[in-house]
Amino acid sequence: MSPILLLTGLLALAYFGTMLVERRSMRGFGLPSGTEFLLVGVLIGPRFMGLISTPALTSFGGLTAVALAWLALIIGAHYGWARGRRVPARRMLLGVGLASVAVVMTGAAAGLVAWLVTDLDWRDLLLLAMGVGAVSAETTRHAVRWVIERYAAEGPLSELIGDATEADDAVPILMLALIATMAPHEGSLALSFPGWAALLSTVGIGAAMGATCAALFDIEPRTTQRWGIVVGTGLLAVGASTRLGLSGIATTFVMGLTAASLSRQRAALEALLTTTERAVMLPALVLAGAHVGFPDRMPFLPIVIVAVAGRVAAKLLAGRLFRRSLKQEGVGSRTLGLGLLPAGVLSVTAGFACALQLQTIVGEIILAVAVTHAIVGEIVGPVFLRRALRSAGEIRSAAADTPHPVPARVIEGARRLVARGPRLRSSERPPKLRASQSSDIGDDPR
Amino acid sequence: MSALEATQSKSASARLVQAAALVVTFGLLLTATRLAPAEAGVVGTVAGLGFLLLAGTLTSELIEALGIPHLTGYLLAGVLAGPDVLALIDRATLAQLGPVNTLALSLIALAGGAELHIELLRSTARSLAWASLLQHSLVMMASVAAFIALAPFTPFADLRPASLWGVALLWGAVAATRSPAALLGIISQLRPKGPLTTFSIAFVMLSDLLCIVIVAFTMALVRPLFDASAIFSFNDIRQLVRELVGSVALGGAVGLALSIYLKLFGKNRLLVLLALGVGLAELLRYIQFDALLAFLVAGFFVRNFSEQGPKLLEAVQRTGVIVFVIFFAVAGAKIELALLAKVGGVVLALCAVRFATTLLAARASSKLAADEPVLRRWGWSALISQAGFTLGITMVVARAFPSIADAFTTLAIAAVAINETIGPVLFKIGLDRAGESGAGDASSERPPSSAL
Repeated sequence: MSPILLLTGLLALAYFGTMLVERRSMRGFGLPSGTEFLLVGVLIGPRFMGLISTPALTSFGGLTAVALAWLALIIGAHYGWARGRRVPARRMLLGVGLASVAVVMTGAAAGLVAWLVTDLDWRDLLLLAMGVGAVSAETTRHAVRWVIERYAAEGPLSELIGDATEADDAVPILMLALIATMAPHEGSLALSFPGWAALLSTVGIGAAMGATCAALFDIEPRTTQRWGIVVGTGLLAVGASTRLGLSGIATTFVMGLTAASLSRQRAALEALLTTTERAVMLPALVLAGAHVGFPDRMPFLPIVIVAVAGRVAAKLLAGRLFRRSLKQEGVGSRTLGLGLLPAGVLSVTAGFACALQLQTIVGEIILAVAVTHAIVGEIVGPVFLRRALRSAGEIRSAAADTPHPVPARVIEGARRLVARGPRLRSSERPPKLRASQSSDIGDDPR
Repeated sequence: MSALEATQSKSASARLVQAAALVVTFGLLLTATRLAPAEAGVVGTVAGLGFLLLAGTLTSELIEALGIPHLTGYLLAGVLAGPDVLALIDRATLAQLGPVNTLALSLIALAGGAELHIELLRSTARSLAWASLLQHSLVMMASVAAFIALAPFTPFADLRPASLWGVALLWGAVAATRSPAALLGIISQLRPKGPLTTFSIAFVMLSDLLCIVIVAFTMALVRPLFDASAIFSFNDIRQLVRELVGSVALGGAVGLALSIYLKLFGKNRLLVLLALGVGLAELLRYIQFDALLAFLVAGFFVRNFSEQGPKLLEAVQRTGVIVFVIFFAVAGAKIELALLAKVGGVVLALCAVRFATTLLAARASSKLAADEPVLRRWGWSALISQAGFTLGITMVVARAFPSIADAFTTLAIAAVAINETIGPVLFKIGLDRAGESGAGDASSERPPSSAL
């Protein structure tokens, strides 16, 4: 498949995928973490159906890196905000702390097993440990929100989980920045920055471009010009930082964070970026899926198993801490911990970024681990999260038992009918909706 | 808020912020290119694209205070960043930006077609007929004569007379081309309305079509002048007819599809335009149809044979800000200053002849068509610019006549550099003096949620 054809196909996919995802709540399908496109990519990739060839994939490496950095920009712009309010500092710390624990536990376990079963040198072992840690850190907020909104959960536990999952995004990004400083670079492009200087440069470029973006965005009232400003600063930030051998993803994350923090028009900036999210994310997920392979040159299976086990252990620990901090007696910490397993776009993005940057078996393993986390989290996470929220009394049991709760539009229609027509008996009335449910549930995971 | 209101209302502090942001933008890429000077592949392209977009926008906003059009700002940013000045963008990066430029040109053509209304063509039919006849014939003849006269100062001094006439005729054909991109770029900035705007849009779009035909005929005509064994062949004409008919047919089909889509769905328009621009341009290149013409026809079809014209125009205009910045900033970066210095004198003279003849032809055609005074006075102002379309035609000529390709391309690029620099300024002055700037519908700014 020619690169141009592939690009056209990806744009078409972005179009149809966006339409599909927008309607998923109405039709009652779609995965909570939104990673079904990842599986599409795996299927059509060179290792399975071969609809996308390896050369075509390779030719898109640069563009894919830009797409991933753009996703990081969006994540950065939203970072620290949940449901229209700032996440409290303590909860930010909790989210970051738990994600860090997950990094250490999974990274150490994967590194140890790799040391035992492979002949990787110390640098590759460290990169592998850091990469596996990066893709194991987050609990995707998409899945958490999917469950919370779909089952109309409300209460301190859902709020805590929502806040903590917003906060943990910074950890994998930081890991990627560290990996970029350690990863070997293409000859003359590389600079021999010491690690701390590379990190400072990453933050510096991101902050400078974020401040520039915010300042220009605030003085520009025209939406079309604002597009130019955001796209221009974003591309320049990722291009310049990558040219210097820094992490484009970390740079744009800092840029998004800075821009959203400094801009007086934060909501407009966030809204503008959000419109691009699906259009960028869906093709990026497909490409990530197409890159996935099962390395056969070394025993990678034990590493994947250990990484998954390590992550499960870390999330169980997180569940215990959540339970303690809220003193929720009715909730089993194991249930809660397993409910924190969903991994989604950020994990896959991090894995994919490692695969693109490292271009070795180490990168392939990290991506394979990320995809495994996404699949395991998809199967286990939402079920246990729902169970935990129900145990905490934050989901009414009638709603929780409904396999596909009635979409809000249908309920709204029924409501109007009730208002117009003969009164229904109380048992036939649809459940009351909260204000947040009056729009399409799942229309926008944020 | 309209573009004009928005820019005019900017305070001194806002200008300072823009100036500071421009310094940061230049500073960042300067640092990156100096610390990592090697050719940077896709990374360099991405950085270059972001830089041109940002620097072009900021430069245009800053120089607008001096009454200079945005396009000149985009060009200026490109020239400064280009390989001959600060070398922030190297030639390899410029080459890699080619597909982006093709996409930009496709969207510009689509916008051009969507601006052409049948009523507009009818209302200006008489003016258009005279202008088309005189502009193309007089400019071509005068350019041929000037080229022959100045030949001793060009790289073609040693050519035998027959071949020299051939080159001169080709030069004349290229000189007759105009720039739809520059025209639409200025219109996108100023949102003008009035007889000058109407005439300019209609003429330049029609001129594109005529120039494609003129160049193809000229190429067929001059071939025997270069190769004594060659005879006048209808093969070129057949090829031209095939290309024209095919492009129009495909453009019509695309227009129909776009109309249906806009009527039934209408969502994610920007994404659809991007997919169309990338995919269709590649398909057209593969089957050797004219992309510019096909997109022009598609836009024309949607505007005139469906009720979806306003939707398409709005969608294309929303892409305009980014598309025009990239197109002209890249054009600016491509200007080879060393080359311009080398052949600048003779090219300047050739451009002066083209300018004078355009002015003369505009006055004569306006008189014959009994145009309104404003058109008589300023009708020429939109016809000086040359840009991507001219370069595209030049490449076609260069491919057909490899023996003169390098020297011919050199002269043409230098001429485009001059005309694309002064042309937009002149058109803006024309629109300002004619009182048409800002008289059009200020494109309402919709919330960003509808952008993609």
